Amino acid sequence: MSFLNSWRASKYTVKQKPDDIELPERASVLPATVQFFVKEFISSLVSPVHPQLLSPEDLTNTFHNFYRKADEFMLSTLIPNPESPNHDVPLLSPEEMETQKMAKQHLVKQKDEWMNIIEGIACEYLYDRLFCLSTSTDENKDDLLKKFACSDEKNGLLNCLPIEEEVKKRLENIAETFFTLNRLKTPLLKMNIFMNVNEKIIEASNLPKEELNADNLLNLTIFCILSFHGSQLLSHLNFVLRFRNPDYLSGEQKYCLTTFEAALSFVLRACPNLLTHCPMQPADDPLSVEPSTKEELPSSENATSDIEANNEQKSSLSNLRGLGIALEKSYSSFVNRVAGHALRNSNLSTDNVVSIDDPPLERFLTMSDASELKISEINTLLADYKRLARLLFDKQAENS
Amino acid sequence: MASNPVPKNVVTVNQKLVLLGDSAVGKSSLVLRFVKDQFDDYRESTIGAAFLTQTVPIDDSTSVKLEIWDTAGQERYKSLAPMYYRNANCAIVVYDITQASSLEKAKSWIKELQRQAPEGIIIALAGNKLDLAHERRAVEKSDAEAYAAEANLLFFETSAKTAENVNELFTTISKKLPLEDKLNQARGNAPRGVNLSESWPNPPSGGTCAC
Repeated sequence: MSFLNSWRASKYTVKQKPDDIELPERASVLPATVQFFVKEFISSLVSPVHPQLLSPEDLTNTFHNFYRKADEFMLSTLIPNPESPNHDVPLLSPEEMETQKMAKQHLVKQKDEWMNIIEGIACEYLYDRLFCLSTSTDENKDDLLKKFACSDEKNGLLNCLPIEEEVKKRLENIAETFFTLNRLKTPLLKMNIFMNVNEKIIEASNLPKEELNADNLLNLTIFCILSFHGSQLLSHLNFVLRFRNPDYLSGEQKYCLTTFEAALSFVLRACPNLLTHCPMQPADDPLSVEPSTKEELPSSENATSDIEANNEQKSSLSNLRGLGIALEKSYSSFVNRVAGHALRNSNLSTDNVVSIDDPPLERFLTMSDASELKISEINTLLADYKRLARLLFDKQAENS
Repeated sequence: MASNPVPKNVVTVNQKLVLLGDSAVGKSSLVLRFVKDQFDDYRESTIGAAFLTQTVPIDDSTSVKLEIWDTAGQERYKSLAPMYYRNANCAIVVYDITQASSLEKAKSWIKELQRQAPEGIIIALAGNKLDLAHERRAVEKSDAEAYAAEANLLFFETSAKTAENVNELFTTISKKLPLEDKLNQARGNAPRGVNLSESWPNPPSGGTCAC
């Protein structure tokens, strides 16, 4: 235990100072103030100053707030504001005004480039902690998705999609593009892959643009997702949705990402193993489409009713799917309420560990009996269990 | 494709519009008619009719750039709709005047929007396929109009085929949008300057890293 203590002490109980953080070479183009700002932000996230783990939603807000502040700072220091009362405005000729306008456009462009660099640096530095967040259900859902995509059970769903055989073959090839996501570590680069896949799907469909509506696009995207036999697709998408600067997403990019999000959500809802493999869908999860707690049972039966109608004879499990999902939702709603209550009342202040390489939490290692476990610790225990399981799988994968 | 000259000093505000309604009521046709007919400078997106943008002039100094999001009308995709209408500024719920059941579906969409969509969303009800009114009308205009008035909605009967009332529908909804905050921001009235020395979350007692 002393070894574990010293390991933890050296790694996580000492606040990492901003000056200790080494930024990559590409950060050198940023002004020194901005570089320090980025280091300070990273330091604030990796240091043991938070009373509890941030939920995916809170972490997303923290990043968005960071982007907003960096943007405002650069706007206020880089780009002159002619409306400022202290600014003397000289009389300019039209040519001079045009030159000034072009110079301003250049500065705005430079600011945009810097904002992308800032986002890339922060997310890449923290990638091991941000990707497949331990406080999210990403990992469970990814496992479920992979199992479903590799099983014959998906055929019932695929057969419901009105897509020509020739197009299906093309979509299967396109799905291979998703493998590229594994080696990219910034939200922008990952997003470009999703956009690229989306473009290829549209090309493969051969549909005239007038017929390329939301229904057709969803059908094609669902087929493409189910043709992918890799893993962690949902984690990759959530990484983009959480950490890409929202001010730098065009409407079309937002629409494409929403289509992937909706397609993944539909597949997960249609998956017959949902009941046993993925009991929790917290409201803070971007992939959770439960619209409101006001609605007792969202119309998830609708999402699967068409499929069930076509496959009644194929699987008895499918017949129970609607009921299963309804039960699962009631259960998860209960579990979430308990977990939420536990989080709010959590008084574990110093022992939470997140990094994948950390040892198990001492609090639970030294516990001799389950009766010592407090309800407020359940969430922490679950998060740590998932982290250790992931570590184990990674090690096994390395060995094999 | 020729483009209309953009007047100087016009502030353009981006707004998200979502289209909802049963399958085959003509959502895509309606939006295609609007973006292709009204102006010739519309930008065709790579996602065809699923996502389109169109700029609507509001007055001499203001324009609204509508980002028009199509949603899937199939029943099995109904539960995915909240992902599409989150952060929407306005919505058009479309029904087919020759199909009474499509109005019932539209009503259920409206109820859902009023319950779950962002606060202050502007909703319009559009009865499409007006060109078929003489032969196959199944929903009386007065009935739909009364429902719209009761539910505080904008209401139009439209025809994507003949373009009747299509521009009016999109222009009216654009003019109803509350743009004051966005205009202030765009005109640079928002306070500028930020203090980077302000520290990040730093609770008094020790704890864990955040992620």
